[in-house]
Amino acid sequence: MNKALANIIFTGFMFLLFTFAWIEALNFTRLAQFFPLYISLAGSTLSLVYLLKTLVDYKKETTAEERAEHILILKPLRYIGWVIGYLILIYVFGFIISTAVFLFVFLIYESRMKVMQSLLSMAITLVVVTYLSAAINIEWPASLLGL
Amino acid sequence: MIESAIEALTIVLDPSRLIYMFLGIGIGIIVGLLPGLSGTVGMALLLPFVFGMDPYVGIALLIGMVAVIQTGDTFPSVLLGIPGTSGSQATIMDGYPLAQQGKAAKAMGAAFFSSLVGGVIGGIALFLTIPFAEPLITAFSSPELFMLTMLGLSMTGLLAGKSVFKGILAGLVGLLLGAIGSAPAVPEYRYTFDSLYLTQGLSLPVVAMAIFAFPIIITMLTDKKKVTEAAKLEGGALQGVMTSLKNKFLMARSAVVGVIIGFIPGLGGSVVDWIAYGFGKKTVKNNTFGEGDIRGVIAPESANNAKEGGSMIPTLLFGIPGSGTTAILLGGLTLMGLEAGPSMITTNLDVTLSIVWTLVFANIFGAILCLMLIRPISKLSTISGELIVPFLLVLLVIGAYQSSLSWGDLVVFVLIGLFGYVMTILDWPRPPLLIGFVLAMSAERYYWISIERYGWEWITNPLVIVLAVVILVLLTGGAIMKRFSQKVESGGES
Repeated sequence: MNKALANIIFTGFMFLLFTFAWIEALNFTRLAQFFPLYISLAGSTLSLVYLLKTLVDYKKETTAEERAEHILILKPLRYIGWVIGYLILIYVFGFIISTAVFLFVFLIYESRMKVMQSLLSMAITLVVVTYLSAAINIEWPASLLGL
Repeated sequence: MIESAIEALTIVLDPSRLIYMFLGIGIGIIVGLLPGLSGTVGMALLLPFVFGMDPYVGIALLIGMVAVIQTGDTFPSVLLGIPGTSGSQATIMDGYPLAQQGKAAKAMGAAFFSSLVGGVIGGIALFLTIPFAEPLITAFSSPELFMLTMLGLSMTGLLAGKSVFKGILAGLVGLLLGAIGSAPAVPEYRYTFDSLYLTQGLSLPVVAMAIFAFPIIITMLTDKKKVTEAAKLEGGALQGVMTSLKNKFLMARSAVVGVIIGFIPGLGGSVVDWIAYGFGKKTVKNNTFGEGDIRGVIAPESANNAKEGGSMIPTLLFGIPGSGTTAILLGGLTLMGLEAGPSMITTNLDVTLSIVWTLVFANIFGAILCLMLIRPISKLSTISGELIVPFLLVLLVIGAYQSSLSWGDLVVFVLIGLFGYVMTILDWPRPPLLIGFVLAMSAERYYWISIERYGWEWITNPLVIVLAVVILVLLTGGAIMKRFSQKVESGGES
């Protein structure tokens, strides 16, 4: 996607966020209202001004060279998917099983590690994490299955 | 008092107590190394063990741990661009770019030496302030604290980067995120959408990790690169130490900033590194802060260790904890049969002085230990992103969950992380967002108390006016201060 266009969309999102925030703030009582209301009104106004400025700048950029800078979309989505997938696994199966599965599969498919190396890395990580958990009382996320 | 100080020194150097101090130092460095774990976690971990302990032994353990957390947290900040604790956020700004240039060892050498100097200055400040603490602390009431939060917020302007619009908007998003949860002026929840988790507000470690760590793990994977772009690691720790020595005035200035901010209860230690960074940026000549300037590492690292000495003053002498860590320390003192307050400078003066010595020694030993670990640990920056990211993600998930032991932390980590990632690829500055978030609650609370208690009269308080002038000078008088700094630091820069 064109970076300038993505910036316009993101600024538009900021404008909507601040606008929603000040509309929501109108429902608070006076003492709870003043801070978020003024902050979000300022944000809403400023983001609108910046949005208009970027739109004008975007229209001025007529040459292909000026619009050449692009940002990746699919590739980041793939890795964001890994993160979200790992969290969903934890939510269902618990931390230890999910970490074992996630590490093994990721190291094989993304890191191109050999099976034995992946298994060894996974095992060492689990031992270290379990030891740390016991030694300094670290808790793991709760899961649906209670594992 | 000198005699008491010497007596306290012999107590601290007793081998049976030194062992506990080293144990505390070891735990402190591990806690600092692991992203998401803070001094509060370390304190909570050690607290059960100090029950009924000899106070000098218990203090060696607790203070030994607290003193070095800000030293150990430099490793993830420099090597991975992930804040080890909330006190090392600003270190990322130049530490990570230096690591990308293959200068991780040099950056960490400078950081650890600055931490050592800052920590020792903090200990000395605690020692020197004992006789004058009371009038100094009472000079800061809500209007002055409000102005100090404004001073912190003014740093967003300095850190906005190329676009002031983007910087201010990012700061406003941070302030808005900080408004989530209970309102300070009235028992009412805001922006919680009937979620129990949001009533507590968002947690700072989670937001800091999401804003800085999430974008880095995705970028490392998409760009298929290592942290360092250089073929081999350049410069050693000693080079970093020498650079710090050359910038001795910057180190000293930043340490003083750290002591002052730490000394003021209620401002929060999370902003001290940003303020020191901002001051550094404004006062150092020919700087390239944000692009891998080693002075951008020296300033926050000196300040965040010095802060610990400053924060002990209100904690020990008045029982006013400035942070979660010092609040738990107060509990620890009680468990050891001590009570914070005026008795700490009368009947228990030797205990207070042993804290001063422990702070000094723990900072020295902790920094030496970290300096010894630089070489092996800095090799992390040469490992490919695809190999390091999965392990990093496991650590981040554990770290984020420790904040409130709720799934909400992990959801917030992903949502704000995605926001931070978009900001990164579109060149929006992230530090202003974090500064806004850190200071949102303090800004609102102190503004409200000032208005309720003094109307608008507080604006004429002498200290308020002084702070307003400082803010104006920082925002507009950079050129004058740079010229002054050039004279002071002539020949002292790298």
